[in-house]
Amino acid sequence: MKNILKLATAFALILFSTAAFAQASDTEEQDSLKMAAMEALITAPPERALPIVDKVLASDSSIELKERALFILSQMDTPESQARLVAYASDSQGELQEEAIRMIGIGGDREALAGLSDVYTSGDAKVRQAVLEAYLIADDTDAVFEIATNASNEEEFSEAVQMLGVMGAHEQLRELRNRAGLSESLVEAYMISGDEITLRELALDGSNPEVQLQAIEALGVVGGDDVGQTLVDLYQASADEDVKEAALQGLLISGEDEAVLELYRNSSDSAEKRELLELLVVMGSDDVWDIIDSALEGAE
Amino acid sequence: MRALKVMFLGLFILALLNSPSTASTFSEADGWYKWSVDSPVNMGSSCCGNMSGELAIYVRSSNGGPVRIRAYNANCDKGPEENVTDLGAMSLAQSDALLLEIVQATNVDMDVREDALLWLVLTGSDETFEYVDRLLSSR
Repeated sequence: MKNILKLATAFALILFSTAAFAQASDTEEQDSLKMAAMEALITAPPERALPIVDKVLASDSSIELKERALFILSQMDTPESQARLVAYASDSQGELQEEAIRMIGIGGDREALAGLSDVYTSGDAKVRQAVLEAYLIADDTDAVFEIATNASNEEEFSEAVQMLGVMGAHEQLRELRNRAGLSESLVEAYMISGDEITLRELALDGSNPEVQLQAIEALGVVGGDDVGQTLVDLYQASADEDVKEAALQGLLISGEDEAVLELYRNSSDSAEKRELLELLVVMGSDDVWDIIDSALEGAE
Repeated sequence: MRALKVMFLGLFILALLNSPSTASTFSEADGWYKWSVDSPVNMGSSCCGNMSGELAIYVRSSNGGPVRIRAYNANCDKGPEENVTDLGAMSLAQSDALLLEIVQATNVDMDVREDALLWLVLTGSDETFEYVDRLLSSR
């Protein structure tokens, strides 16, 4: 009798653990179905989908499901859904707020994007970054330009102009130079945006030595057809050691070994020749071996 | 001895509760099942340019259960032609019931259940949205 009881107890334990495993698997399946149902709502008329999406967002559903709900909201092309999205971007917090902001960027609705301006002003650093990213996604350079123009401190200005750089907003960045004056972050933004024209202009302008040096190196990063010649001209024309050094750095960064070789051949100063040869070695130039051969032949 | 009987009865009920739900309509024979339904949603069709709310829904059954779902605009039905059990024209409620059977069948692959859910929402009856609402509100 005791053995039968033991057997029954063991059987019960196995069955209960199987049931617990099945329950966990059911929960997983249920979550997958919920996700699929939410995604399927993208095909539903907005007037049918909106109340359901609203309900999920107001519930204690998982963050993943709510994020998906925000995406569905962003894809409904109605004033109600966009207003709802802006409300979530303003009033919710943390991950969900950032996701709502991102979804406004993905949706690209002009009014909703304009609504992000207030969200930016009242938000913390994370929210401000999320708003800038939303504008990046929507390619709304004017909105980022407005933020840069109205920035209340250098950090905000710097973040905004960097974003303009990433967006390749040449016109807005050039306009900022007239309005806000030059700064390190602005030159960096010219570099990020690949604005070779403005950088060349700044590199040749010695009125602000710090900006000039930064622009020369940035020109090397941006590269381009005439960069080698511009940097060689700068190197040769300037008596300022810092400018010369920055020009060499620019040549190194842009990989213009032909231009460095030209400088080497034109130089009659042995210390300078040594420095240029070292630079060519660092650049891995094939011409270095020809130079060494010529030097050895000359020595012989 | 009585306690033992009660215990075995309990275990039997538990085992029954754990048995999977099946999509029995598609378990009779392997092959394709087809039906048509008028959807209240107007669907564009990239293949024929016409707009029509009539859908032809195909479910492939293998080893006694659905393994694939396809749906076509009835104007350009490119579904399989052989080994098809035609279930005929159905009302929206009947079609929903068949798709829901697949959605809720726990022994069917999740991808197929999710496909069924998509078509369920796409054909869009009131009952469908009530179901989706309940599903999303459930814990």
